[in-house]
Amino acid sequence: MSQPKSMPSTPARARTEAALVGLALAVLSVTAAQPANAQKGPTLKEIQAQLESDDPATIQAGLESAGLLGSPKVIPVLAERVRLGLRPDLLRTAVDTLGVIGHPSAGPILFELVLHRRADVRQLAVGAVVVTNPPGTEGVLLTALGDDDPQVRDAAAEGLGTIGAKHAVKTLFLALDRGVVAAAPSIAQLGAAGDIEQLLRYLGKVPFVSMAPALTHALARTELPQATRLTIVTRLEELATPETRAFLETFAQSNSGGAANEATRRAARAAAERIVH
Amino acid sequence: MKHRILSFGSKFSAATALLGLAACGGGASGALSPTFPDNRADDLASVEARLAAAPAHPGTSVAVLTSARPAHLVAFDTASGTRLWEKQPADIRGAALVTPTLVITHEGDDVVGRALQTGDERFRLDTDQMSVIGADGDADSTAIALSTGGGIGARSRLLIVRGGSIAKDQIVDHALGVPAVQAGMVFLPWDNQNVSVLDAADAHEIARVRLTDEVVSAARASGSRMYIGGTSVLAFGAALSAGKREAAVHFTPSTGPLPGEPRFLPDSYRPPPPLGGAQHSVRLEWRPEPGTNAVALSDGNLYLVYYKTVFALDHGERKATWARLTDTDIVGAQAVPGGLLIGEQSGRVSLLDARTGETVWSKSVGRTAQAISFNAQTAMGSAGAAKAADGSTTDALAAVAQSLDVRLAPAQALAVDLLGGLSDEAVAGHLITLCENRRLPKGVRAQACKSLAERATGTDEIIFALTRHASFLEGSTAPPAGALGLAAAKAKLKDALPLLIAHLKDPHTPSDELPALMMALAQFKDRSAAAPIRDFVRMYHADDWEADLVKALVLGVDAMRALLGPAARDALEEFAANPLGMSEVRNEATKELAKLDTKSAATPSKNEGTAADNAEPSQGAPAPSQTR
Repeated sequence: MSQPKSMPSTPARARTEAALVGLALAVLSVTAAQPANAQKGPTLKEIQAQLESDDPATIQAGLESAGLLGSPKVIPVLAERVRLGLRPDLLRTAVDTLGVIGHPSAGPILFELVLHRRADVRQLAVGAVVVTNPPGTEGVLLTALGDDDPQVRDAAAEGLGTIGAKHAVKTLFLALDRGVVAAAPSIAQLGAAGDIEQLLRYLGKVPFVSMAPALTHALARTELPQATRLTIVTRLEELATPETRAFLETFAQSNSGGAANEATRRAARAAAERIVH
Repeated sequence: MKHRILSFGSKFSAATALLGLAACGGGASGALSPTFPDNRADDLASVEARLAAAPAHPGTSVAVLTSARPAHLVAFDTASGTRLWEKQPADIRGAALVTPTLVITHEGDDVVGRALQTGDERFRLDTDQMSVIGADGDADSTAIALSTGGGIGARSRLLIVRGGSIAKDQIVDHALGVPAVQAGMVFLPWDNQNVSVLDAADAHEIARVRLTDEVVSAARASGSRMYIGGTSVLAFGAALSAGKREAAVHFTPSTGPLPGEPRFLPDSYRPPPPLGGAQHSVRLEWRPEPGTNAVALSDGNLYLVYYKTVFALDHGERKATWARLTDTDIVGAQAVPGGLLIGEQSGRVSLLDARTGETVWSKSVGRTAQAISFNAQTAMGSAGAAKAADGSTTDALAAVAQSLDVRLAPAQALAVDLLGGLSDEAVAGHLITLCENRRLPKGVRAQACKSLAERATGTDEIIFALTRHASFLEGSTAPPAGALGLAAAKAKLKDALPLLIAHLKDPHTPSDELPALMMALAQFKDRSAAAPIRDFVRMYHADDWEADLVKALVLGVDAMRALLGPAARDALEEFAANPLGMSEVRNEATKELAKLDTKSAATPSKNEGTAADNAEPSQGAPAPSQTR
């Protein structure tokens, strides 16, 4: 099972983690009910049999077992079952399971589900695509960025940042112009110095609460020129609102970027002090 | 000099006297005598000869605007563009009637005649609770008909005005229609079937027509000729002696249903429309003229007015010559040689060119109107004076179809229907725009999609539209894939098939497009569509969906059987046997399996070649493999 990348928590990541907890609890309840000498993981064959059942509860159990098994070998079985049609609750479990397994071989079925007619399924599928990151993910997420459902767009915008899609910055700016504020943090994660300066022009146009995560990302990137990070501080000082003061104070007190960012944190502390209450 | 109505007793006596005179024998001089012979060819021929010898109906260039709120009566000379006079009548009811010498109005309980050029009151009479049905005149005489209307018990009054004063005032126990005056004769419809010809000098009846297959409600002078009719228009002449429309020179429009269902000629046996009534703005206008073996329409046009829209229908059929939108509601119109006079609520009077609908001239009276009346008989402007049309008939109909005025929905639907009848390549593009505009009234949009689906031209437009998908970022919307698909299938546009499959897979294709899209995919009879259809049905058949998607899934099952024939059996059995799938799909799959069983029982398989022959489609990719 491939490990998801280490990154700040995003809603998509949070949902996948929640699914993992849910599956774990389900498995614990099942194993607790079994005699100790009978406790062993489900086999692929058993999972297949469960998924082929006509009983929704058995199918649910099969999906949970597939997550417990965690092996990429179960993905073709899962994909086949999804393609044969599942009612919405089971389908959502199936998508979560594919995300929990997290193997790129789930790409084809997840890409199909990114085009499902139910928006909630598309949203879950986008999250699972980000976690599994199969070849072609960037293109799928860019398409999903144009979805008519705002939550699907948000998931796609976040996902592009998560997978490090540097070529997506221009499209993310387009999305931000169209009101997809979730694009801002990804721009901050991916953009070059010029992109960060372009992003700063949205200060005052996009609610600060939506810009703050993006600024946090940008300030933490010590690979960006210091001048760029200091420009962020300067722009926030120019805004001089209680929110920007609080943000600068928080950043100044953090260890964001480690020792390499000490100068930026000092500048932030000084800027916060100059903002009058 | 003013006249006052006789008392009821006097009227009764007068009517009795008239009847008594009529009872004296054939050819009685009283009007509408029950014994006057009808349909006498010699009488009618004599009238026809008198018409032919007389000068053409004079008409007038004066238009009269009527309004009750605010109350005004305004005479406007369209030739000079000047207001001739204005009055503020109390309690004016109904539109003014215009004759070459007089303006006739119903004001309160009176019928009032004013001089056309000056507005000076010439007479005022009590209507005795009758409505003013119609009026017309020539240079010497004016005939005015009043009536209670209705059938049994109807009572009417005929006034003939000569030299500015009432020359004849006769009460009759019949319902009168709209009269016309030409060559010193009054043509008077009455009691639905009859038209009496009276000498205007003394109201002496000189000829009578009685029709058995046409309701006659109005007479109309045009040029030197006279026409009568109701749902058709008949040329007045000796041929009417047969007493049948079919034996006479006539014209009957074949437009099909029109918005507001206006009558070809007004139903004068019903009360005239009040000021502000819809009939002033929903009407048919036309001008008859002699044709070969039939009455022809001047300039080949039947004009439909519907509030702010005008349609010129080609030779009275359901084909558009042109269409126009005006700024305000049209409250009066008249067809004249070379065009259509219209009068708008704003007080603007215009002449539209008969060929193009473009404005030849337009003048403002400076007063608003609830009705505008004309009695023009000659060309009112130079035929070549209209500025060149800015756009085509196609563009004009599309503009009407896209109007934002909700009252115009029936006219919009007609515009779309007429648009669909045009062969112009640009029509497809307009129909696509209309079909995908979900802000249009439902019926209008449905008509546009229907016309688009039935169209086999404009293939470039169809393909171009199908390449578009909805995208939030690009600001693009989904095209009407269902109607486009049906049009593509009708045109056998193979290039459209992969585009349609892409729309089937697109989650942003609206559900209400999916049934038609599925039908279109089946109509291509290409097996390459079978796998995407199967995948679609599989993915969604175990869910709970709105009616359109359910219908699409059911059609998808049908399509699979139609495309694959016996090769669809495995997939159909899968759907039929799945207890987690929706019942509609299970049931349809079961029915389709039964069809396969019936067909195979009727045509026993001899060898593989025969089984392949049983498959309905004849082209495309091989059947997809069944994986369950």
